Amino acid sequence: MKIREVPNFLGGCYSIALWCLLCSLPACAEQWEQRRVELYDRIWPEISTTYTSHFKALPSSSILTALKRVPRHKYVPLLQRPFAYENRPLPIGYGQTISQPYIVGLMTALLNPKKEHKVLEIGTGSGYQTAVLSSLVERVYTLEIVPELGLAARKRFTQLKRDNIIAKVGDGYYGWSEYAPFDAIIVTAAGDHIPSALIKQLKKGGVMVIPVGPQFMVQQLIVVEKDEQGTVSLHQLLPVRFVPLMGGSR
Amino acid sequence: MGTRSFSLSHIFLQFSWPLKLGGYKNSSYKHRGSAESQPPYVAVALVAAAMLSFEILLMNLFTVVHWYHFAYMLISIALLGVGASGTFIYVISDRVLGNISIFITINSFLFCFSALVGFVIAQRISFSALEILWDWRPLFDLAFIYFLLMLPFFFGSNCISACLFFYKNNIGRVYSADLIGAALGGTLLCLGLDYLDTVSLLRVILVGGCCSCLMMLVRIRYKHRLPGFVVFMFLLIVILVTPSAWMKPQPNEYKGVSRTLMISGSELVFEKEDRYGLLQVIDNREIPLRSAAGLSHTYNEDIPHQLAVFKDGDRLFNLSAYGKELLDFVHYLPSALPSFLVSWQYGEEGLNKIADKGVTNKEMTETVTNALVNNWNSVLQLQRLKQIEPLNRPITITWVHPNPNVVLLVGDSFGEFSGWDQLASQPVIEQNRVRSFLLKTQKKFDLIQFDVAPSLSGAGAGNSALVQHYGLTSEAIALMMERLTESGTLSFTFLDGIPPKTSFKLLLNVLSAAESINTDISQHLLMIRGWQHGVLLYSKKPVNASMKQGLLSFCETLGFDPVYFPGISLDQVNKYSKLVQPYFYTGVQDLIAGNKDQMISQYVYNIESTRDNSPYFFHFFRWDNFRYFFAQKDKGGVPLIEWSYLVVVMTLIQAVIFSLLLIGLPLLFVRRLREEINSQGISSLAFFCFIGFAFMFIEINFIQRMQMLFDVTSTTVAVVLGSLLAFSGLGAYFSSICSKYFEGYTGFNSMLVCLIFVVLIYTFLLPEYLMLFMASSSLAKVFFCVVIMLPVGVLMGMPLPWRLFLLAQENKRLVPLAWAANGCCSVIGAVLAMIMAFHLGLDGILVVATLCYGLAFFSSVASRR
Repeated sequence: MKIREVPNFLGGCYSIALWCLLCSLPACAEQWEQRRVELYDRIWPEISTTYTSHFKALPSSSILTALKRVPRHKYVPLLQRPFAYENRPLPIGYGQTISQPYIVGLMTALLNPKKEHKVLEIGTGSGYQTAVLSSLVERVYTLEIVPELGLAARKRFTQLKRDNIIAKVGDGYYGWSEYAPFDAIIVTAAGDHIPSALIKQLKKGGVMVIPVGPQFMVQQLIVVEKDEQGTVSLHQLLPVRFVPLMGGSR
Repeated sequence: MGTRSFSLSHIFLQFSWPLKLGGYKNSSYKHRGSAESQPPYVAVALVAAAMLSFEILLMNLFTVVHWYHFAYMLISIALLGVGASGTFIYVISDRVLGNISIFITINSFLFCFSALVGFVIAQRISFSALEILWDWRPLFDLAFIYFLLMLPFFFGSNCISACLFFYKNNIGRVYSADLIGAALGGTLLCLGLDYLDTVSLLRVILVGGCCSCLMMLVRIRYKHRLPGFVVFMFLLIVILVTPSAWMKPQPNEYKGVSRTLMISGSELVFEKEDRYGLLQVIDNREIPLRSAAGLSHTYNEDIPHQLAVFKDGDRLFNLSAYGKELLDFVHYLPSALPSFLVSWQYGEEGLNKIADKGVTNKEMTETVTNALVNNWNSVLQLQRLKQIEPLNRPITITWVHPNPNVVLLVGDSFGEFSGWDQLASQPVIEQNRVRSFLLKTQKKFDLIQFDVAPSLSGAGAGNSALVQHYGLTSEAIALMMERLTESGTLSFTFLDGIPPKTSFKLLLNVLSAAESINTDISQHLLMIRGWQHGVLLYSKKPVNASMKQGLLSFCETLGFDPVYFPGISLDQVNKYSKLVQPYFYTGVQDLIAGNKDQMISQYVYNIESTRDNSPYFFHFFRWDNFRYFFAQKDKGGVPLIEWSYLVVVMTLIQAVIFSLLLIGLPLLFVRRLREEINSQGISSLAFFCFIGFAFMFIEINFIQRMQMLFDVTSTTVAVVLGSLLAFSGLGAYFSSICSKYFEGYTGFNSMLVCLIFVVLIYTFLLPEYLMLFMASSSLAKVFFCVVIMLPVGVLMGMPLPWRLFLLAQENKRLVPLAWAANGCCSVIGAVLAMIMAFHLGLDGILVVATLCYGLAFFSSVASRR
């Protein structure tokens, strides 16, 4: 016999009140869009700076356009919608989170997505990152290990007409050999090692991005690059501009 | 687990005496019948036992449900409940006096009921501590949990405070019953953890609380007995029939065990619960569970089938199925470096390379015949040495682990799975900590392999900062160095990211240890890193050319980066797991050969070496770091904040606010108290503030110090608190005798001077004294702990009741205010002690406690003028 969890009690009440207030506002959809545009206009310069520190070039402006188009509020639970356009991670249930928009933007930029690319995503979550990528590439293949999340995301993709996303519930450890190789791989469920199967399924010249850190936090990003000769190199990035050994010079 | 404070009885003492002396000066109550003429000693003892054991159990349970931080916050919740109860009793004193037995009976009922219902609801509130950095809404959930958990302590404390208030002629005995009950409750709980699961223990505690209701029922008037008995039976039935699933701690959804169980096919295959915590094993045949912390990306095979092992809901390690694949797999981990270095040198390839480089056999590392490890993977890695010629000789591997359940799991419960019986070199098992074991044994080792990494999820959450790690202090490392053979090697495997912190602190500890044994170790060190893990290796012999070649070969083969070896150059680093800058290399160079002090002072994390006096290895927080990262919250800076320290600061702020609100504020509305404040009054109040702080500082200090001796915190807490409370009670009893023999302040002040002197002696001698008994048996350690507590405990129990007695003779009206001031400072002092331990060290806390007693002495003198 099990009793249900008590949801965020007072916080939940607050969310409902705020949500009702926001929904009662006229032209709600425009409000969402305006907040979305404002959010990404604000964080884009920082994303560009961090990207440039690694690739020595500016990220494609199409990424910003995609970020501004995908409605994040449709990928978060109802009670979290009022906070969808705050630059912070949000809980999506089952012990999982949707990443901070800044991190989503940065990881997308680090993949260098192009229109003709095939991308594999390990860890669908709510599907927001998948949707952003689907606006930028030809096809996104995504796997989610928690059945409830995977099925909900698949339903959401159908509703939002994200036709170039192929979603499946299952173990992403071995990648998706049926559709391999991939131009880029994004692993949103951090592990403690890099599965060799994923490296094998990465095309020559491809990029894989893996975030590291506990829930609600991405502490560093691992960028795995496979050059044209098939040699693999790992790059460790901090999402924040940081000079650790020069404490006094900040 | 680290600091816990359960001095409820101490707080009762603080709250009860003023109630007795000052609270009913205007009362004209009469005892109602003979039953009420004698205090309900057993009922009081039962409630005190139930309260203290409930708090200790709650801390264990909430460590499973949430994280250690949360359990730590429970200290102040309990103290607040007790403090608020004292205020409540004072305010409603006349009504209480009307019918004491009914009041105690009702409050006993409410204690049991609120403890049961409060726990069931509180653990199911979906509170996420990690979310607080982003959102303030979870604070409401936290406040709600606080409220629910504070209620049982409030009601339980009402029983005891009211009793002390009412039975003014037997207050000493009531207080003794309270102390004995509390001490017994704590001790029995600690013992009970080995025999009963937490749900059964919770039921036993609540039934104990119910028994106090039953005892009070026979004391109340006949017409009230029947409804009271009906309520008692109802409560008893509720406690006994409440489903275990409701009472069983449910780890929150963000904890590793919950997330693993959400994966399709996951199955809980083993569970054991005792004083060492909750150990769970999960298997998944559908979607294999895989963990290979630090595994080289060059590993192309499947990871062997694994079982995920969790302690208190956090991932401890993964146990792999034994087989040839496993023995290959473990050699792709950074921790395989020591065994690789030996096998590489003796292997054909290594010998050829050595010959090419002109290295002679004399320079080769001696073989390993006696190894000490604290990690199962190391046991597996060392198996390879047995197979290599000319090393084909017996290797003695001693596996030291403090948790017997883990050893039992690997060697017995899952022995077939782990391959225990098939190992070429079976390890000798020692249930101990590495440091204690080294002190106990006289042996020397060719290899000591120490895994520094805390539990995987725990490390990520940064929750280790509050825990004392006496096994990683520079004193402990110096001991390990001493216990190496002439050609021995000491190896540390660590988990680190960027910016580096664990590796730097570890290196500084090693450097500090080397300084203590007068060794220049720049020629003795090797360091490598992967993308999350690294190895720091100290060789007792200077690093030779063959070792350097071995290290480079290891790194080249597995894609790890060299960080340090004597003569390393910039072009040899940052090749495989590339950083924007070679942070590890430059940092290590600065620490070994550069301006170490400047780097330590300028670095964004606290990387100062840790010593036994401040054994918080994972405490990296610096305030300038906080401001810097928090300012970059929107740009991904928040995760770099070491937030476990901030939780303690938040607890302190909460303790200050709530103690003022619940304890101090209501008293300020009592008009007569406001009229009492004059210069003498302020001095008296200051006295009670100072002794409140001092008591808590010493108590927290002792608990943290004694952690050095015992395997688990619950044992430490039971021994320290049990003896400290009992001896303080004895001291309070002596004080009532002394106050009669030594009239006035002369005797009192002499006692204070004695106390200051004794605390000073403890400041200087305690660390050395404890070291003497680290290698003793558990029973001997308990005995010596109790002996240590005796003089200081007795003396610490004397100032409060004695001074209150004197104050009451001068101005009874001031007594409740003095009590409130003391209560506030006790609540705050419990948390403040933890923060001081980080900054001043454990000796520093004792010095501050001595100062507090000194200031109390001067305020006592001042109040006389």
